[in-house]
Amino acid sequence: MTTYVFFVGGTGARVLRSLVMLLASGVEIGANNKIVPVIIDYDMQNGDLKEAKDLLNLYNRLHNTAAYTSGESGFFNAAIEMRDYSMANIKGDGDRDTFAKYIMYSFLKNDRELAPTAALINALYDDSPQDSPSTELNLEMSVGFKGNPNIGSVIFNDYFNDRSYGYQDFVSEFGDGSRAFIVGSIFGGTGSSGLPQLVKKFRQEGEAGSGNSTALQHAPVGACVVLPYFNVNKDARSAISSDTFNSKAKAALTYYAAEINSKLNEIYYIGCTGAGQPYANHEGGEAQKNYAHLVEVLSAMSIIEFIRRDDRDIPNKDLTGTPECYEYRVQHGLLNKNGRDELKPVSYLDILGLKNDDEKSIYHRYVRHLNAFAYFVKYCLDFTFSGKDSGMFGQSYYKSLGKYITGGQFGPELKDFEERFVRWTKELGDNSQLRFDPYDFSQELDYLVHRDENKAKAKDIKDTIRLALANGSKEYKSEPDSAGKIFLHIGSQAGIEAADR
Amino acid sequence: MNFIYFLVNGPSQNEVYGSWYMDEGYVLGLVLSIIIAVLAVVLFYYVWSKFKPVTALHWFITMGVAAVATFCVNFFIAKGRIVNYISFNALDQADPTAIQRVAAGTLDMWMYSLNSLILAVIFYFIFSVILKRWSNSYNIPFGVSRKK
Repeated sequence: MTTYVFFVGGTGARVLRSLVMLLASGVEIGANNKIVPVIIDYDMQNGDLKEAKDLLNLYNRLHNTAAYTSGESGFFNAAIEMRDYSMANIKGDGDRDTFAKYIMYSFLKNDRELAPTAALINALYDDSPQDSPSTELNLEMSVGFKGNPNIGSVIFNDYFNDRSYGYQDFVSEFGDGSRAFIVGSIFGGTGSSGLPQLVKKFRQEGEAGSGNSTALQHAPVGACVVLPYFNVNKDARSAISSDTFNSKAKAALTYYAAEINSKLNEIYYIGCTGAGQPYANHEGGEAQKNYAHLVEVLSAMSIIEFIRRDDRDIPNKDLTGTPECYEYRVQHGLLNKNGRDELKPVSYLDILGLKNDDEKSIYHRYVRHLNAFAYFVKYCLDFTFSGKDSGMFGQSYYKSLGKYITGGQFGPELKDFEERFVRWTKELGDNSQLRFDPYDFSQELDYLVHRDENKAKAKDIKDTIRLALANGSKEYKSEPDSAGKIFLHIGSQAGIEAADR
Repeated sequence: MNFIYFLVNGPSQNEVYGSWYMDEGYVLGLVLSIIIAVLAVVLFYYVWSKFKPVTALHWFITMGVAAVATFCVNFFIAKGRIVNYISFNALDQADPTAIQRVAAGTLDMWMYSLNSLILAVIFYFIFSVILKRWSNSYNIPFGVSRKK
């Protein structure tokens, strides 16, 4: 089954980054399931988006190297298939860099017959000068809609109308049994304007009776509505102010309740009160590169939950009732001291529930895989790529696979991905808004995973990984092409064995 | 056997019990060397490497331990057996100091133990090559893949 996941705006890109990390760690989306990502943004220079795109490309190359067969599990197992329409930069031509130019406001104003339309637009949009943070008509859009969904919703129509963005290709490809999912924030510009438009468009398609469009019209569609989860520094010159996040979210939710919710099968609401130090205020561009946040990880998990849902369990199938709504509330992470909320590090155990042996538990489906990958990453960076496992007295697995792991294209790519994973977890732990701090990569392997203080530390993780790698490397049969594949397979096994200790 | 125990031939020629080596010493030494080498190889490849990640360094350590064990075992067994051999064959009448000298350790006994040590190292290597391919440490001390 194919699930087409739409990542809209900056939050969508950040959720994609977390999704790629989860899937890299071996989190399963179900046998024969695959994801086709569609990334829609106006601001393609957005730093978060660039990171997500790089990560996605790296993931796919490593996924192809791993070459799992159906039913196998391991790192980089889930298929994320890119299409020509997977990257939609809904940016108009360079001449129309303000909203007024985009809608040809001056032409409307100067034309006698169209003057009433211009007056209506003038009533709806703020026409302050371009240097005013409140301006709408003269908003410079090179880096997006800067938190103005009333502008974004107009421009977003281009995505459906301009064939070069590939929406029609998506509709043509969408077959029976496929699903669609949309991720976007509702307190910014692009996400809050794109999410409702996509939902409405999906359900409109097929009214003409064409085959594939009918499939989309009746397909299970879910959405992850990301509520405000951070705040930004106040900046009088910036068009973005977190003071308006909540009011925008409330307005959007009211609108969704009336127009959108009934068209969806599942909705995930995820948000968090920004409590710590606000982010730096960047309107967009390369500078907009926020630290990874727990809310983005949970949003990524909502995608996986939706994909894994059995067809029989999909709610609101006939779209006549209300969708299944899931809310997530973080109760931890704040410590009330003398009447003031202070941040405290949040561990897996606080957030995701205690470890237990139930195969359906959050631990087994997510945390175990992440721990396994973290152990593998730490081991590779400390021993495999550092050269400590090489040489006359080096490790057994390295004698067989070493020169193929560290050389060629595979080794540097895996190392690059692993370093990005370390950075991602560090950002989660160092996030000034909410610290989610599951790993400490500066520690020895046995102390990598932050555990419940009452439990003993893991023991002999290094030996466990080495033993598993040695056992697994027996599969190598002097075929250099298979070395990377075998390393990822046995690395997955080694990571899981380490996580289970 | 004289060929295999080349270090012993010279020093044992002038000893009254010199024939013990040909009677049983060489065979005993050879068998003990093989047993200790096989035990060490099995322990290394099929016990140790199942519970701990091992490297070529561990292989050399095991070889060293097996060599020292072979040296010691052969020395003490030779000492006991030679004393019995002297007494049983009344060789102490021809050389009254023989038992005392054997108890203190003679050059031929040291050479016998050293020669057994060398044999143990050779057998350790041979059995490693034979037995490693089915173990987790198939590429220790050399090799890349288990089989093509």
